[in-house]
Amino acid sequence: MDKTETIAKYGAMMMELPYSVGDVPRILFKQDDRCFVTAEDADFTHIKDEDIVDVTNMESPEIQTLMAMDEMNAMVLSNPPYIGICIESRHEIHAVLDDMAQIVGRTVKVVPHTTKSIGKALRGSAAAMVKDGYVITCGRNLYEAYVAMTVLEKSAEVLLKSAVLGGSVPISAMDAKLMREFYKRKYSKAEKEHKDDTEG
Amino acid sequence: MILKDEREGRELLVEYGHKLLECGLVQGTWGNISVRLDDKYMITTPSGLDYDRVTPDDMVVVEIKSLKYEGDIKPTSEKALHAGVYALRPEVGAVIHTHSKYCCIFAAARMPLEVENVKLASEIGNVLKVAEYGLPGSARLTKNTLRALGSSAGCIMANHGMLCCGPDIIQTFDTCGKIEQAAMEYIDSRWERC
Repeated sequence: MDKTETIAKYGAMMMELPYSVGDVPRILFKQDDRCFVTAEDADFTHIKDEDIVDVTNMESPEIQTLMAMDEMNAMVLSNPPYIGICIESRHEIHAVLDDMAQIVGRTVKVVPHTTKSIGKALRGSAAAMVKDGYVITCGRNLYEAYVAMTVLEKSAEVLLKSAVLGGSVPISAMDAKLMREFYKRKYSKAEKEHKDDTEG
Repeated sequence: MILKDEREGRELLVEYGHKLLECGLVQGTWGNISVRLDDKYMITTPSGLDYDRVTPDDMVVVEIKSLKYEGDIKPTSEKALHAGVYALRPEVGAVIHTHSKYCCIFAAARMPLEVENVKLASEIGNVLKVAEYGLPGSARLTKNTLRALGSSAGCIMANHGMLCCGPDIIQTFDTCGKIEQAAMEYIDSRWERC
């Protein structure tokens, strides 16, 4: 599967989700030391070659952060509804479920739109919420960045709606760290290898 | 339902894995399913592979007592949990474990699910207990979940998800959907008032 096919696959999957991923979702993809991004007006249901722009030499916090992170090769920029509520209210999302602790990390913070802040946030987590903006989820491949977005949106909804039951109980820092390390080393290995082989 | 053979069990797991995905009850590789093959063996979904691409050959036959399996494909990391249910409950023919959204709200709050809908309660029970927390794949998670499950159709797993079981995969899938529906009705009726 080439770059365009991979981006088009996940773009279409984002459009098929049962919620909006925002007005201007973007996909960033790193390949052979080049950085590509979907155009602002790209139709995510049918992303084509001409919708993907080489932005390697452009300056933006997202591009610079992605290019600086050795392990990360993909980013999804989106604004799903419950994450959007957290961004607006500057409400940090902490892991109250094992799947978020494993796939995303223990906490996702709302940070200013600067390379330094985004880079720092993404060193400890697979996601960062940008103040007055959107959420960035990243991964070793586009599959991981996409899944991180869906898991974080579920976590945001669970966190907010658990208020009707009196609130949630967070996972301890030690348990969350253990699970994240285990996930990165072992659990996702089979799926990562498959996606790397088939999607680059 | 008694399985005709191992092949049928493998094919059912693929079919119901797809159904769980389509219903939004599992995402990607998250959640796992098993069916009892006989008194000694179960067939489980593999570890860490997407439901949308697994084939019957990816399913893994696991010995219930020893958790031993043959071949290169690893069974779900929650194999001990599934095996524990089959060992304790001879009438159980299938087990489904999901991270479905509304059950996860109860899991995050570590609260039992009170089934308010009378019709649903008659089918899945009045209350689904919540198991105390244990790390995924740990002996503690298995022990706590089996304790909370007891003889009921399912239970909530603290900070994790839910587990349900039944005589066969068809009924267990049905129960899984009903538990999520009961959780959704409880939460949404109150969330709308917030």
